[in-house]
Amino acid sequence: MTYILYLILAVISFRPLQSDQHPVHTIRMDPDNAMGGNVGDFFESVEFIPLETNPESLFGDIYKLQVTDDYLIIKDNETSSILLFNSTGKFHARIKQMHRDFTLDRDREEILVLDSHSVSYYDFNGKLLRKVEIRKNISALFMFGNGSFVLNKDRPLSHAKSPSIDYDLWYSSNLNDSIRTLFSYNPQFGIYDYNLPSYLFNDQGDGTCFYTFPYRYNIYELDASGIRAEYRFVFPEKYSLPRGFDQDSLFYNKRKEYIFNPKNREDLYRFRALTPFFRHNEYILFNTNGRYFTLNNDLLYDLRTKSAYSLNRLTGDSISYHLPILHAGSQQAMKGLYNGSLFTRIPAAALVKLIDNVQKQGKDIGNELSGFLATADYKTNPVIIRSRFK
Amino acid sequence: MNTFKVLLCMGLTLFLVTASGQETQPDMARIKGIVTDSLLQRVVPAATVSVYLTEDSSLITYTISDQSGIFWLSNIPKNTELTTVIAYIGYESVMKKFKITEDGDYDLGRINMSMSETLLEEISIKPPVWMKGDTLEFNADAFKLDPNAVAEDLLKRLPGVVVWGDGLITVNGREIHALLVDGKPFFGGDRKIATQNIAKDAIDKVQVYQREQTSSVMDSITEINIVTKNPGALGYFGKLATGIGISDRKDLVGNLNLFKGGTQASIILGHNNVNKQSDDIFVLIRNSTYKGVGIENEYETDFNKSGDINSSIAGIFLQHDFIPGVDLLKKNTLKLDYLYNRSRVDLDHDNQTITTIGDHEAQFRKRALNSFNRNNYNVLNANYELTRKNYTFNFLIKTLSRNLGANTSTTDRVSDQHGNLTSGRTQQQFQDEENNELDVNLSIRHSKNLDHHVRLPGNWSLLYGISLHDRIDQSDHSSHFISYIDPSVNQDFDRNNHYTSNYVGHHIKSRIGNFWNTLAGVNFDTTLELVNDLDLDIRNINNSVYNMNGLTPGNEMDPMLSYRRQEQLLDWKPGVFWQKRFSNILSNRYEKTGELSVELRHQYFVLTSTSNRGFQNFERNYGKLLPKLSYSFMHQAHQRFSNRANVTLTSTYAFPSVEDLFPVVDTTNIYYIRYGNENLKPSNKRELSSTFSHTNRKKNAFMYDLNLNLGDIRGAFSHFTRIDASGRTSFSLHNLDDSQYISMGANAAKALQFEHQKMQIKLRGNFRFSNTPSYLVIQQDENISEMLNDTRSIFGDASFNVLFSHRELLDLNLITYMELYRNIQKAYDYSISNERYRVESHALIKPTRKSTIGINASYHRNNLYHFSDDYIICNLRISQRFFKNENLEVTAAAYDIFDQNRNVSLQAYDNVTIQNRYNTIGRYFMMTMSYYPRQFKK
Repeated sequence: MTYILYLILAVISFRPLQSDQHPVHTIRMDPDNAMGGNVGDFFESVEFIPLETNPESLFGDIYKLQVTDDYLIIKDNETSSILLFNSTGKFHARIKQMHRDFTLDRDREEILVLDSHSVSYYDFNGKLLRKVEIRKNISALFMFGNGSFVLNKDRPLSHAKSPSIDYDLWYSSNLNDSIRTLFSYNPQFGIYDYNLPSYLFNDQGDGTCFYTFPYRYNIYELDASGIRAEYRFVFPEKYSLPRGFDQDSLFYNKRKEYIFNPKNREDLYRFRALTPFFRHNEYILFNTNGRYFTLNNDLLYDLRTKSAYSLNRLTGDSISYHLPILHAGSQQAMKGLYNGSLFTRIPAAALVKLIDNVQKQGKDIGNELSGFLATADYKTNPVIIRSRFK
Repeated sequence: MNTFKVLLCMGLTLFLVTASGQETQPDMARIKGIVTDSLLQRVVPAATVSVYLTEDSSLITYTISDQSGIFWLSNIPKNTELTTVIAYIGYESVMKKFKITEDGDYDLGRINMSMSETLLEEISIKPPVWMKGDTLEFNADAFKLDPNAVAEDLLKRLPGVVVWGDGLITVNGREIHALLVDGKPFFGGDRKIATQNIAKDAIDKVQVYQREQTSSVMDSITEINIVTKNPGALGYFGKLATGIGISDRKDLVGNLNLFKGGTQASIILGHNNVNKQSDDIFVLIRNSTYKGVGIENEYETDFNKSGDINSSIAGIFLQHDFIPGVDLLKKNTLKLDYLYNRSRVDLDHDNQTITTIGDHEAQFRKRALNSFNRNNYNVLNANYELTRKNYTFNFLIKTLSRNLGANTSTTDRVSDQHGNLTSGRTQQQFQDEENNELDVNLSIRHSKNLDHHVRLPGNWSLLYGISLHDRIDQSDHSSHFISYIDPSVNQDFDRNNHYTSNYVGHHIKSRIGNFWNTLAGVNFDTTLELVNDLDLDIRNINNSVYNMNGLTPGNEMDPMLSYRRQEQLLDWKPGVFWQKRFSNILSNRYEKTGELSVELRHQYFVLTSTSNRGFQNFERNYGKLLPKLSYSFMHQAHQRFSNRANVTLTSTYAFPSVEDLFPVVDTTNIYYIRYGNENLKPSNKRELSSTFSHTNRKKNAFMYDLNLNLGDIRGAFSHFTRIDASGRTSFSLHNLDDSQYISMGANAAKALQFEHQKMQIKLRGNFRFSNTPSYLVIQQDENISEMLNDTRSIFGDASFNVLFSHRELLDLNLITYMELYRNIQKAYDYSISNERYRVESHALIKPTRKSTIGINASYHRNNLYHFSDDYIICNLRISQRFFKNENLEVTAAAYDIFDQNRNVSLQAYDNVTIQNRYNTIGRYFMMTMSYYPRQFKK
């Protein structure tokens, strides 16, 4: 009985979503039937951008990528740094600071770095400009084109003692005020095991972003005024989490165990979140975050033709020097979308192996990749692949 | 996580894809093709492409398609009707017949597959290999092997899997962590028992996968799981062997092992008089496998065993897993093993004790000992283990019952440096000793769920153990001592001794944490724990000594040697443990982690003795600080190497016992009279120990490890020894400083794999230098000289071991070993050197599938002080299998063909060096008939 009451409360608490006036796209897709193709079918050119490796620019991995016309801006948790490389991969600057997230003020060319108590503003040369103290415990942020923010905070470590309402997102004009709230939840059930490290705000590069929920297949396109559109995905049962996984009290405090140590190994195929998530014209691109490697983890959905493609199954051709751009078996991963280009990354050692394979087949790898091959060693930074859509 | 799965798939499939790039022989061709799904316009990576002979459907070769759906296969026979089958999960399998008649690569072209709802398990021709999630699965039926092949033969055929000569199994150069059968450990988890017994035809598939140990990708471990066709069916295997030899030699072994579902049971019986002994039931089981004895046989005549041994054993092993099926997270198992061992040893023992006493001066005591020993014991171990969520519960019971009897005659002769006899002693002793022991241990461990109440401590462990040990020792002992220097010290006695000891020990170990998050804020890299070890022991001893003198026991109790005593000991070590973890990680490149640990304990040690002998009533209290500082470092370079290092600094104390302080002195033990020293204080050992290991993760694995230990003992328990001209020796312990040691060790191993050969090279070396102080009082004629002596000891040994195998035909093992010991006295000019060398070679030849020839030869040389000899041991064994199932084996063997075996050993301390020689087994011939009963449901 108690659970039913909680369920009713949870349903009521999500009411603002349903009452919002925004278009809803319901997309039903079976990743097993995602089509393949060649890189050239979708992209007009592919550029491999080795990120300069020197003692100053050495970093671990790309945990978040933001792209501007001139720079590739990288968040690295392993060295607690934000790094700037120019568009050819040459090292430009490094911001050494413990951080949770960062966002860009594209108009002023500033980087806003979030830590536990403040947001620090840096210019694109890595120079600290100012610092704004924040009163709330924010875990992620995004700056809209008009300079306002949407902020997210982690759900609490322990549950509330009585039913109440809290929110995952709120809008702010100055990082401390609250203009509006979105996505309410009951803190009795929505606790720490709900949090899943992932891209929450997927920057579109045009002042808007997609917001991704953990354990749910609803994606929200946000602009400064609120929800602009919603995409609801429906997948086959074998890939879907149980109904009510993110809200039902049955899964309270058991979500992590279910996700990471399920009793049934088949559960490891289920999609945990659709992130990163990007849109380019009529193409929607996302990763399914299944734990098993299925060759259908990175998907592209064409809203116009309602066709699904697996980006992991795009075969390299002459425009990509016969190398794949997002083959999960080579540790390639989708990292960003900007100005008509998809940005993926590959560890240097994995790229060396791929090139080696292509060379064995007697195919040309071009001068740039030959140069990379000559200089790559065990310390070399990851490589970014920029694929321009047709 | 994504990185993990990707690495996994790359690693496991790499060898399959690269295998296709091998050179092709002239009468062979290469084939290529691309696997596609034309409907979805996509290539199909990881599809299995197998080529069979059309004639008999035997598998020739296979591979899996690469990320572009392309495949290459080498060494495909020309002008032969062939069939290729292409399979992939969720697709209809495609079959193509073809024949290569022309030179050059043969192109199978684009192979188009259609999607299907049929599961891979349901298709008629299953591919030899496929990827299922993170697991590479091999279909056992696809590999045509000898009908009597076992799991090991199948593993050897799997690409990337290497079964080495010493039993090591590697996958792509990495040692496997576990070999499971139907997801469970098979008979205690011993790999040999599983791989050399389970019939290949009973195997459905072999799964190879990696499992994460921690969040670190590089910490993943490789496991192999053998899935049988009938996991719940009753099966059995074992060995019944009867060996009869000349000179009444015999060797009988019976072993039967049964399994059904989660229950496994073994029974073993054995009797022999060829010096084959083991206390471990699994040694007996793993050396009775159907596959037969390999080049390294643990249960074989031990030519180093002392005496002529007649041994009988009986044992059982039971294991039940209460969890049906596979569950990686839970554990609920009960294990029980019991071993009865009865042995009779006829022992002849000669030894020479060299006691240096001055410049080029030494006493030589030669001893001739003859004894008949009886040893019966029963050991029962029961272990219950339960793991649920964050709790691990372990309950362990061990019982031991041992009865020892010995009838010993000893003759000692002491002479000086010039060979002049100074004293002699003859002894006769009959001893009967009974030991009964019960040890019960209960432990509970809890790991905190860090998702909740992260600041509260929640990691804890508690172990409680109780030990009940009883000992009854009865002996009759007569001795006749003559001094040729001073007849006044001559001595005769004949006594009866009745000694009983009753011991109760309670042991509690506990730790709880992490308090760091509570006290200093959330930090997952820092640990602060409270630790506590408590031992509480009570021992009651009753020693009654009766001087016989022709009278019946009880009439003349010796009041000087008899006593009743209770010893109470409290050893409590509470303390604090702090650890800080540092890490530097660059994804896909390297991971460097360091751990700095500090443990600070305070040791309270209280020894109370209550005795009917007044001088043994005392209490000693000590309080000592026990600091421990440790730093561990790990550097794992992605797919290249792994380095681990540790440096630990400790300070520990040794405390004097009742026997060290106030012993009841038996002055009739003429060459080793022990006195007490009531002023003896605890000694403090400060030690720096360090280790370093390197493992190369490339295909031909290479590893080495080094260790270095430096120690300094303050107030070491050192001998204060008095020696007179007759060789009579007495001692007590005194605290002396300047006891130091340094020891170093190194191990290296390299594995090499060629097309048909495998080779393992192992090197090992140890060096130890120590300086041990002692105080000597030498009485020669009327002169008494006292000296503080330092004994400098140098010990070194080194071995070189090569294992070589060629296909299934030949296994070779070459071992060379050398040992050097040198003892130098600083107070006077006398040094003693001893050297030992050994070269061994073992060969196992299989001229036919059913026959085996084993040859072992070893050359031993001992260059000992005042004594040297050399000898050769050579063994030959020829075996032939009979019957269709090859489960009858006849073996003819000749051991120590040249009848030269010796047994020489060495002991040394302070200014004393003891060289021992024992009688041992020599040449014998034996004919053995073995039958291997076995059933594995196919």
